[in-house]
Amino acid sequence: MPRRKDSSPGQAPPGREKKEIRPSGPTRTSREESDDRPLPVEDPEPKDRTVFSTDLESDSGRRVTPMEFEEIEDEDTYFLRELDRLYEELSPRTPTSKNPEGPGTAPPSVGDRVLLPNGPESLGEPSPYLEERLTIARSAVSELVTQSRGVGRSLQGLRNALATIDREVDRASAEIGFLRSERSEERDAEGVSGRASSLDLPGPRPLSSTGIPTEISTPVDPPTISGSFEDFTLSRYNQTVGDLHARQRALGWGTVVAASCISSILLFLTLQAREPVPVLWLAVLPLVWMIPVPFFVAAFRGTQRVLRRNRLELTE
Amino acid sequence: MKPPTVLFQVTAIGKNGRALDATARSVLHWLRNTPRLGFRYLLWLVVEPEGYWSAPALYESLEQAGARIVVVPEDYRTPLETKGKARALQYASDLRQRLGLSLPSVWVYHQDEETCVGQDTLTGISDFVRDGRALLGAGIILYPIDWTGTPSHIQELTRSYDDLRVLDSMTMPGNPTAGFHGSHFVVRADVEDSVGWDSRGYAPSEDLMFEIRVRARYGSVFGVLKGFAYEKGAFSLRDQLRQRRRWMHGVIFAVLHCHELPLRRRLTVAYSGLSWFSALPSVILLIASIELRYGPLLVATSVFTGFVWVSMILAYVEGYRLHSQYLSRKVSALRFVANGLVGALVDVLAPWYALLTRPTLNDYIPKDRPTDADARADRGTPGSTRA
Repeated sequence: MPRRKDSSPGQAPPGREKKEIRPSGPTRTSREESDDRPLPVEDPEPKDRTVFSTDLESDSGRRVTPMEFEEIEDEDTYFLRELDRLYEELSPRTPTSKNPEGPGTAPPSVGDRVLLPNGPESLGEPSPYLEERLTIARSAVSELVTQSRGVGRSLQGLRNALATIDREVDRASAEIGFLRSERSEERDAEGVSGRASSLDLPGPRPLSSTGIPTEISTPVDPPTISGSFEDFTLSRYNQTVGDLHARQRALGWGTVVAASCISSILLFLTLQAREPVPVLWLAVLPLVWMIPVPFFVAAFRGTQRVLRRNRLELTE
Repeated sequence: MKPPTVLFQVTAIGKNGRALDATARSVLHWLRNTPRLGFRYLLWLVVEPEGYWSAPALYESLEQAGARIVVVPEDYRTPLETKGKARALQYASDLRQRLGLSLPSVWVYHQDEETCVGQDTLTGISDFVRDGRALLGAGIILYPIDWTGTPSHIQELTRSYDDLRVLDSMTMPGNPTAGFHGSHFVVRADVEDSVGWDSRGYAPSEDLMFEIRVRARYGSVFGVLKGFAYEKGAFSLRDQLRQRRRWMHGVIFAVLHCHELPLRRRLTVAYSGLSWFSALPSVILLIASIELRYGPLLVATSVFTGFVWVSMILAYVEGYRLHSQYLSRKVSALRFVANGLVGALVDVLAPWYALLTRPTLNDYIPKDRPTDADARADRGTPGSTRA
């Protein structure tokens, strides 16, 4: 199938056309090319190749003739058209893209033919280079996407690192403030003797038997179903004991009310049963139920008392 | 005035390697991630030789992480030739004295091999040791680790709510309802070392003996330790039964053999044991009451029955609410009730089971959740059992 460039207005010299639109990568074999289209023809005019392939500035010492200028102008015009065409080819389209003039009034664009291989025959075949161009463009886009993702990841990593630094600096500031207050308290305790404070360590740190601080490794997650130790935070604790304190009175009164209700029902059922008085040896048996009663009463009182006397919350 | 040092001491046989690893690393993790801790620290893992040799690589890695591994020598003997955990605790006490750590500025925080700490635990310890008014403090233990909602796990929830009773009783003169823990308590090193853990033979509840001795020597010096400790319940009903058997034997041992126990205290300890024993007859009587037809007698008892029932139900409900922040696995209400009944039944049977059988020195409760590999190994090795 001969290569067609008539889909775009304007013509360019065949030699130049070949030079410009030849794909940069060796993606097609000569056999394939010979099957699809005429073999590329070498430029009969080496001068043209020189003009095109070299920078014009490098020929600044030579005067450009009007004919050459026209050629260059043609060249540029063609190049720009090609760019436009490529832009059109690569712009996103879908087979159901809207036609501004209404359905069926305008033929699909060249790009649509690529996407819709069974399009109208009258519009001819797309450029045989198109697939290669698209392949190259796609690979370039995918490379760009990969690279941008890498950059994104790097940026995210940097952001995380900055957040960590920020957090640790905050903690360090808090620790320094705490240690300073500790030190001043110790000085107060030691009086005016001027002895150096013994608390010269930056916060708690391990002491080996030789007194040399040891390193702490990163913890390894234990294989747990629930309750990993990293979940055991101060805020959860405070919330739990705060809730417990909040319902202390409800627990106390609720227990009394519920116990009274159940006991009343049991008493009612017992009296309604009108059972005969049992033999004596059976009479002592229910006393077994009474054995733990003092324990439960003490537990109830103790629970209420410990909640009333102790605020279990910790300072965060 | 020196800043206090807290010695985190994990005392165990050492065979539950994964649980021990998590415990040690929880300490290291939260020491690093808890601001404003007003103490220096040491981390000791006190284990038996067989525990160490069950996973030497693990212990080496923990040593590199900052822990000191203390292996109790096989030939170590205490003056009274105590055995079991008390022997290991006494060895650690001796070691502290040799190293000059038996000081008022040094505090020992006791952990079992599955006692993980949290940020709140360390903050609570820091507050306690900096306050310094009480010589020994214990707190509330939760059981959220590896919680799956089995009968044993649901039964453990009640222990957390019961800890409120324990804390109150412990801080009252005479400890009227006999409350104490074997873990999650912090004690001043000089106090612990002056009292020691040595007792004649095998003491199944060494913690109860220790509390009795401290109270006898120092009086009511107990305080409330803020912050939870995080442990795991027994994985099976059999383990739950064995654990309770050991407790009951500890109570019996204290009542019969603890010379430091004053008469009044002896009575309260005996009463707490008796209350537990009364559970099974109560259940049997409840079932038989229809047949026995002693309704008129229930006029008196029914007044208190409602209170006992509500207290028991409250322990489950409130225990669950204490844990709700930490449990990733939820169970349906129906399953909760059914498993709670099964777990309670085991606790009802436990003291009577303790009367019929005896715990042994090798009677340890597995705390490492069985993995798929363990299950395969068990299947592949006929007759293989966990110790």
